[in-house]
Amino acid sequence: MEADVKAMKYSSRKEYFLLSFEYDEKDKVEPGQFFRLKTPTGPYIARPYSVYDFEDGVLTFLIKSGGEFEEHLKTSKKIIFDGPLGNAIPSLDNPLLIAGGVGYAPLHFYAKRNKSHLIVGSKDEELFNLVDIPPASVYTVEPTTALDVAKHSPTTNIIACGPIKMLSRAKEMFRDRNLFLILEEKMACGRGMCEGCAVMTSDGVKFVCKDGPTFSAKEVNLNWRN
Amino acid sequence: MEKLKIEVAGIEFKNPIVIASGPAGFGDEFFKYVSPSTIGGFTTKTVTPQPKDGNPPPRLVYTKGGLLNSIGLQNPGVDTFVREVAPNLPKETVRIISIGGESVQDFLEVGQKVEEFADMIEINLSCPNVREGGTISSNEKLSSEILFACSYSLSKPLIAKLSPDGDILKQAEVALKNGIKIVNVGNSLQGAKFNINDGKPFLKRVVGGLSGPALLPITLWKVYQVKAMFPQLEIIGLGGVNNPKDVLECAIAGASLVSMGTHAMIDPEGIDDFILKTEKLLEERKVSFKELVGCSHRGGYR
Repeated sequence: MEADVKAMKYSSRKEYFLLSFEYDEKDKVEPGQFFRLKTPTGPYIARPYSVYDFEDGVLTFLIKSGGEFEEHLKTSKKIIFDGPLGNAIPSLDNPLLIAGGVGYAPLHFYAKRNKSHLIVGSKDEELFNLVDIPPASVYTVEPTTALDVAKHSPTTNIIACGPIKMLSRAKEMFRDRNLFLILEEKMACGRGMCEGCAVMTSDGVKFVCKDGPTFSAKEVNLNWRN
Repeated sequence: MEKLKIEVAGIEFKNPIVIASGPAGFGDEFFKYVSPSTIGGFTTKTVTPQPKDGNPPPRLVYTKGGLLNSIGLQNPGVDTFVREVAPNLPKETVRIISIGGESVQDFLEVGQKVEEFADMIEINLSCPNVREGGTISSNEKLSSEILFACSYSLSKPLIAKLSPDGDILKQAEVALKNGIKIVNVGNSLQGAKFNINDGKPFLKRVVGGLSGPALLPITLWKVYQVKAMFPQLEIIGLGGVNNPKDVLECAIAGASLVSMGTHAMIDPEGIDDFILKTEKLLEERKVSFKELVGCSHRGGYR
């Protein structure tokens, strides 16, 4: 499907941007799902991005600058998209959400629709110039990480999304909790055909696009990747 | 769709578009988006004697205009394949089962077990040669033994999948000498990509297969050379096909069938339209696909 770019808003140093376009299939997009995006001029392989927001028929994505997709957006104002793909984040009772960097995207969307507590960490403050943070949330800039703050929480249900090292540390830190991890991998088809986004689980190899992107931490073996 | 029909090794194809082994898996996801009655043929992922988990991630690297992959022949192994996958392959399209392994015995075992479910069998000589490194196709003696044994023992039409990273004419000659009548020419080319932030390769095994539109001229040249040297071989052209015009070019170079991998995977919903446009191009030129095959070797259109 195709849409015109509605808005492309950069952070102050242009390290991140929010990309929006209209999508008329209301009520069919769930937090945790993603879309494959490209422009008519490229990139050749559409890139998968988690939905940051979906409100009033407008989809928004949080994207780190510097990729090939952004290069094409400088000259093309049309988006070719495919989605929603992947599964929704499971509904949990009042979970703690832990986000690192652009891993905030699906958790921002989740927090808007579900009662939860949110801790967002970033390498620099710039991310917080761009994104909105729900009231009563915590945000932190390195060297203090989101996990440094989260480790004091007694919450049972936890959902984490961020760099793989952060997720590995979360798995170790919260091994006795009900922890879910939202994984990221390079994808080509986004539908489980190409088998590019493999993740090793207690039930064999699964795929981030088709079986995820959210997995129970107990189920996944992150060491297979590292 | 009359203009698209072609017969290869006694098998009727409603059109020359054959989905390549790999990107569309075993079809369970792919056929949710594509009707099997639309495509000429479907090639399964390569099946090996034992199950394979495949390579650890990252398995993909994006490149300008392409994709580098290192999936590692992930498959459930031949016994599970025969029990759970093969019986469900759609009969509305030509079913090509791709077989792999490390030895003559491996290829024979898989070939014999899958044969009853296949219309054709693809012998994947691009499989890694575990004992000596490289691919099986880089070892002429082993390739010869595998092809000879399969030709002797299997009754379905056989396709030798050659590697674009070796001498394509030598490989085609080896195939022909060992009773093979159809060769798959093109495939993904070996490549690597490195991370300038940590000085390491992106792929765990450094090397992957590069696919994407830029490969088309390489495929066309290889197809052309093989057809010129061995006109009796039927050729499946594979690599870089992403536009209906590419299908005509492959045929003109000498391909009797045209395989699509990456493009079919990233735009499965577009395949119906792709085939309709291919037929329209033929109608506009008042030629059939069959008439185009190898016509560049005969002085072009007549």
